[in-house]
Amino acid sequence: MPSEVTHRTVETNGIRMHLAEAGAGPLVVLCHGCPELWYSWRHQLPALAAAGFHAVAPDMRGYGRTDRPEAIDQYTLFHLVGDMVGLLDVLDAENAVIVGNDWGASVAWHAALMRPDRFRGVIGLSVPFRPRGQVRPTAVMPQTEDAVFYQLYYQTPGVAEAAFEHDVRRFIRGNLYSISGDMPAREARGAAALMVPRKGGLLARWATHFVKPAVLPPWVSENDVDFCANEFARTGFRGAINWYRNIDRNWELLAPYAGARITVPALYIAGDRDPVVSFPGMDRLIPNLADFVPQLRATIMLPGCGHWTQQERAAEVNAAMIDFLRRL
Amino acid sequence: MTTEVTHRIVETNGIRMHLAEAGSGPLVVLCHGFPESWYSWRHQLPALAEAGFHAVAPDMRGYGQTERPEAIDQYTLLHLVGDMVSLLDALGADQAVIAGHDWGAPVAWHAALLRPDRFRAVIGLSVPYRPRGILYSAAGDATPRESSVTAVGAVGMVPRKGGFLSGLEDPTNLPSWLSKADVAFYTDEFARTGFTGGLNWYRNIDRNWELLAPFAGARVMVPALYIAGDRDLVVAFPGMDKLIPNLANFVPQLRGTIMLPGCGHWTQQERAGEVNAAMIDFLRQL
Repeated sequence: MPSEVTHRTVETNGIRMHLAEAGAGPLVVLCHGCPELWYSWRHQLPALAAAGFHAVAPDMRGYGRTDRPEAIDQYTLFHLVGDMVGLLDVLDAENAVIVGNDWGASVAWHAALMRPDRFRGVIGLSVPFRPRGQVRPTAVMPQTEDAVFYQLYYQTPGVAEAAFEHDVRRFIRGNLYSISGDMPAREARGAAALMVPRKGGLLARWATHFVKPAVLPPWVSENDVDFCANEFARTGFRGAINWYRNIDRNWELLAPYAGARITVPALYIAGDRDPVVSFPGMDRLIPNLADFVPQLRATIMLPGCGHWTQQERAAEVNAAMIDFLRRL
Repeated sequence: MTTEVTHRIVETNGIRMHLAEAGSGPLVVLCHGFPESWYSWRHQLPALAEAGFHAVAPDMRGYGQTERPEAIDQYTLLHLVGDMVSLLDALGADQAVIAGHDWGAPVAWHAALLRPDRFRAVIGLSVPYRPRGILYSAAGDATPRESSVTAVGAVGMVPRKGGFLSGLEDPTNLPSWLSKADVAFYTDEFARTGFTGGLNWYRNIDRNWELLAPFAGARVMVPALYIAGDRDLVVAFPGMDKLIPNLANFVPQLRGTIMLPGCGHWTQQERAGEVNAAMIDFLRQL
């Protein structure tokens, strides 16, 4: 069984998509988040291959060596789920298990919601399935006189791009560290770290907003940072941030799914130091996730782990994924 | 059991929606098409009520006494299906059977496709379920421009010179299924509202195609019934000759396809008695 990672480009849902893949067997699709790449699954691809699965990690729409459509409205959850359904068609797979981290988790959950006939199981890392709320999401995001929730800051085209592209490598490196479990508690600012000052935005607060670690934690190397920094230096961040610019549009378009539950088997894994699990409302959602995902087989909270679940805790995440996959 | 038609306004999916309704019992939602009104179901409301159902015919988004959002992108199929899901919530109904005619039929088929847990069965009049194509629909789904079906005078074609009205007939006598009072009702409604809301549905055809990418190859899994007139221009649209006989490939629980001889586009108005009987028979066997 080959566990070597190979690459190819396929056509899916009208765009060219770059895939990294390994192994043969039942298909497992791995959806990365923001600002990431197929590379975030580098530890899962060979492990899943060795366990007898065909693991496929695309550069998602807007990222890496995949196409980046110009228009913001080309990045709705319907486009992103459509990409994954199209990917199964290209790979000639009747069904797959779909896995996602961060924004990729939202894609995975909604793929399972919309096409339970194609996605026979779902694994969400970091971000749980969030049932559609009663109100437009940006209307209830935190904001104060001085600062706004980072997702609001991302809404204006060009602003966040300018901040991230100011020094791509330092942003990637600082961001990997800042929301990982290795960020010392005394430096972590908890929910405050997710607020962006209205004046000057992130560009004016570079030095204080992104911690510059002297030494990287053991789960990420300077080479890993180089890989990601080189990709984003080439592509910019516009495609990635466009996902956030569809948050309200997604909410509108998901009206048919008000109150809908995910009915396929599911697994949720997150770090207990991931800022996502302390987002507003998560303290009530996560313990009650089975109300919305009735076939939730387990919720695994990894102590001391931050946002980069499958990178920070590759072995534990691999074991939990493979155990879940084998019992399907 | 009341078979009298009553009216009310509810809030659904962020808009105020006007409903005409009759009867009590299991819910049946009736979605009209273009350019129509709840009024297109005037013969079905009392008949379904009489048969023991709660029949509800809204003015759909953009029509009649329902709200008409300004922006064109507020009329996607996802908004329209969202309205219907939210309507069930507003009515306190776990489930409904959904019926639709013309543009209301795609709403009904897609409601059943997206939410089989809420829409336990579907009835389509005139327009069958069309699986998502591989090309933009407005491109004519691969029909060559030179083909006879795209010639002036052929089904659905509007002459570039003179536009739509140049091809419209002004009949001296109305057919027996349509009265002057019926025409007056529609005329008054559209004179007040204009046609922009209804036309905006068409302006989302490509956007719908894009947004429905997740549903490529998806099948409608709940029990279904399809009824159309054999003189309906819709059944002569390009590709329908291949789709309609094979509808069960995409709707595996299709209980029947009823082609009404001599009936045109206004299925439930032209043949109220037959359509009512077929609907009630289907509903009772669910």
